[in-house]
Amino acid sequence: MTLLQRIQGINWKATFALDLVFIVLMVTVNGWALPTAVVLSQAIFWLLRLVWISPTLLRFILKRLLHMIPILLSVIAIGFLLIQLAPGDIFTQMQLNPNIRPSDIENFRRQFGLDQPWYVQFVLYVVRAVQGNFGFSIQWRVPVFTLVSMRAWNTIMLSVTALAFSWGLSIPMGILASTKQYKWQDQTISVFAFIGLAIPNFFLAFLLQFALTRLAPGAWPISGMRSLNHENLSAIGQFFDIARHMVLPVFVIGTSGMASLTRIMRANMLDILNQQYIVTAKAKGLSDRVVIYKHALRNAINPMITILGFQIASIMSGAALTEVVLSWPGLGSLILSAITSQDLYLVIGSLIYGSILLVIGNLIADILLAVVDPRVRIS
Amino acid sequence: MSNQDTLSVREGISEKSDSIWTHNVRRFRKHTLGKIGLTILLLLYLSALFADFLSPYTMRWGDNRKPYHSPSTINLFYNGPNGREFRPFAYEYRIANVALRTYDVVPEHTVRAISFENRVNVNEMRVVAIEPTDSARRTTIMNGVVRHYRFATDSEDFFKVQEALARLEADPNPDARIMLELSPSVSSSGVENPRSMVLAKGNKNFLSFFNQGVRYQFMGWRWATTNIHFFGSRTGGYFPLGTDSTGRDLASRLLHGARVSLTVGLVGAAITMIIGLLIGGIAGYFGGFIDNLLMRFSEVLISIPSLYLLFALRSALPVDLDSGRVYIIIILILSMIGWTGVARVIRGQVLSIKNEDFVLSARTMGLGHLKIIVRHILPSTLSYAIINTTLLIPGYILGESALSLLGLGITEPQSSWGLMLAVGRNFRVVNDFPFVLVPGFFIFLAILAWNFFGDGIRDAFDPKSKH
Repeated sequence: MTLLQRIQGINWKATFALDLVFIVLMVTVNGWALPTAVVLSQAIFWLLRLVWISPTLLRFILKRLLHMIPILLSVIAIGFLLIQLAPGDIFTQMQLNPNIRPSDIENFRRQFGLDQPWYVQFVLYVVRAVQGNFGFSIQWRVPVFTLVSMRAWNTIMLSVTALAFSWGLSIPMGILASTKQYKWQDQTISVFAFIGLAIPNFFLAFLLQFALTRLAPGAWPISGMRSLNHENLSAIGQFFDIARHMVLPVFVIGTSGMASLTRIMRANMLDILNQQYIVTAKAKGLSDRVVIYKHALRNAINPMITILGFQIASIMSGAALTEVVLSWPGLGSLILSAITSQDLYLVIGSLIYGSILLVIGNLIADILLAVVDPRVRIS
Repeated sequence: MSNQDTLSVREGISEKSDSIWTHNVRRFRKHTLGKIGLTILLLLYLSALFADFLSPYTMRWGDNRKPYHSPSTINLFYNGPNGREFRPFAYEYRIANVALRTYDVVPEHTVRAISFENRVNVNEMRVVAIEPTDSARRTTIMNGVVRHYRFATDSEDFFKVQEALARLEADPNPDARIMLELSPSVSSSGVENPRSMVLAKGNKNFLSFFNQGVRYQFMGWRWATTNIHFFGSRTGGYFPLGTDSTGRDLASRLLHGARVSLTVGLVGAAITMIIGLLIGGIAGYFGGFIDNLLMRFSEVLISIPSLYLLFALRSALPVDLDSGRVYIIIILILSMIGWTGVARVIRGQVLSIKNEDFVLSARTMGLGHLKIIVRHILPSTLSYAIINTTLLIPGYILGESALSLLGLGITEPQSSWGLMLAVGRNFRVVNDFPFVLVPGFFIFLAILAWNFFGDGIRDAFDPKSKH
């Protein structure tokens, strides 16, 4: 049995009911915004299901997770090395303050282990990280893990919504462009695709901010993640508040990926539409709709999922810049502020978190490909 | 004619076969979008090269009394004493509300004194005195000029200006101009610097080609010091794209910024390509331990989101460096991040090439490993290298502008498109003065053109493409 067949044998009603329970649990316990809860619960449930479906997959996932360990160690080492190369440390600023005694600063340095050479710091850090202690942010005065995971959720929320937005729009657009090849629909779409490809994220953000302040001043939030009265809103009100704030960054991040996706989807569809089995299907007298959506689309989607892996990396980078520009409190803006203030453990914490997100994203893309395409074997 | 020749003529085969280059160029010529891209790129890069000459002022020139001056509108026809004639001009504006930075046109009966020193790197060509009312004219102008040049009130220059002002008042032409040569100023080291100034009546700045403006060194050559600009006004006050918060001309900064923004992509992609070719070539050729090590290292770099790595790399280097070093550092950082993808593809290609006969024969001839890689293996990957370099460039232009936008790249008083857009982060400024976003359109245009050109190059150079 292929993976797909196994998946088709799942009792969908039961799993969706379980999903619903899970989402409700997540929202009530953590108070995260709804989309994050949905995505996370879906991700966890898919993993559980797939593990149940295929032990090979479990082994594959475990292998990939083990493979992550040396990569993460190297990321930590790179973080230490870079911070070490940077002139001064976070306490250099304090030395200029006459109200702080130099002996206190020395104590601080000892306390945070900054007086040791970098490799000693590195080993100590790794030992502590294994115990679940990722250090303390000197700038924000909270444990790094708390801060980074909070910010990472904001980034995940943004990236996943942007990914859904760009895929949800670019696949139908790609299909339309391929079925109406060289007609005005195709031309319009390719013009928009070229514009979307060439317009820098931050510039698009500025243009949209300008348009919104000019056309509808105050009607729509143009930066940040929460309104001032966010704390006073009901749970649903808070959800819609964040959703409203998310529209602008999601649009900005989503459009940048959309351009290339549309073009690739169009090319895939055109390749498939010239295949002989499509001609056969048409000759059988099947309607265009059936030929396109049942015979062509399913095969054209496969290469797209390979691209998903690359997309995750570019979406995360795009999100980082957009976060800074639109003051979205995510991982990207956190790492920038951590770097400018030389908050060592925070820099490394965000680097690790960023690469974990990236690697897991790629893992999910690989699994998806195996699920959708029976020709791909996981080992 | 030999037998062979008749044969080839009969079959329509030319004597000399096309080289791969002429073949590729011919294919590129058929690609319309590619040609459009190439044209735009040529225009952009040429204007960056001749930025000094094309810009109406210089990169550092600024008049702090004209912050956020809106783009000047050019009026083509002038109603002068000789009737209506074709003579383009732009009105002179003066700040009306300092807090809101609103501007009013200067009244018609105004006299201005404009500093016009013949020195490089001096903030000349600014209005040093301006007065619309007839009765106060003489005193205000003389006060302004004396305050600016620090004349003694009994010096020769003082009387010269006074006399010129009287001449200007007497002139029936409502838009008269007088150019004055003043005595040279002597610096503390005893160097004499010639000075001059312009007295202008009326509220118009007449525009002309090959205008004499701010003095600069063409391409930075000391012997090419000149004050000829392509287009502009002798009396200043002409800002094609407006000015920034300190009154610097945006058009001039845009043109000078193009030098940084456009070359970072070109040089960065070339360096990336060289690093990628070498590392990919070495990894693929030697295999084994070296291959493993290099590929694991590239894997680590790939698994960090590139912008995070960009931030982290930049932070490892000191912030307050001079402009040239910052420029080199940006290029190196971008190449540090970008080489991994190239190296992986090259490695794959080398793996398939290295057992070909021509490599084996080179090895039997006793050539060194590095020589085999550089001379024999890498040339086979040339078409991929060229295609990939052009496709890398847009990302590098974006990377530079992102770094400069966030204050990690090029810093003031240097100029780059990203740095100019940094003001856009303050949406109140953008709302009031939308013209500050113009550099963004140029980034867009450059990336679009590189994409078009890259598509054309790929279609022409890729041996697998069907054309």
